[in-house]
Amino acid sequence: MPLRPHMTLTETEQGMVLLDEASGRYWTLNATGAAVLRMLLDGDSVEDAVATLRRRHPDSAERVTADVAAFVRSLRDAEVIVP
Amino acid sequence: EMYEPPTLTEVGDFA
Repeated sequence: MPLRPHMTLTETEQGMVLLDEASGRYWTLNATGAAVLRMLLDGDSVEDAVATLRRRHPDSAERVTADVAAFVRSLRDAEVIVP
Repeated sequence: EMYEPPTLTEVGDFA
């Protein structure tokens, strides 16, 4: 799942910052968002990312699927990633 | 460490 052209990312202490160099819009991602986006950019599927988060956070496993789905939707809505 | 839902927050216009 690639980033759109003109999109650059920078890792931060809190997570990640994304900048659209064409439009000037920029976003912050928290640590979980940065981890999920990194997995997607590395070629993992959404299901893979969900499974990884579930393994890391078994106590929160029930909500992870919906949270990741909403997050990926927000990435698409913001046109950060190529659908 | 602790689970937080993944978030994407638009900060604004860099320009």
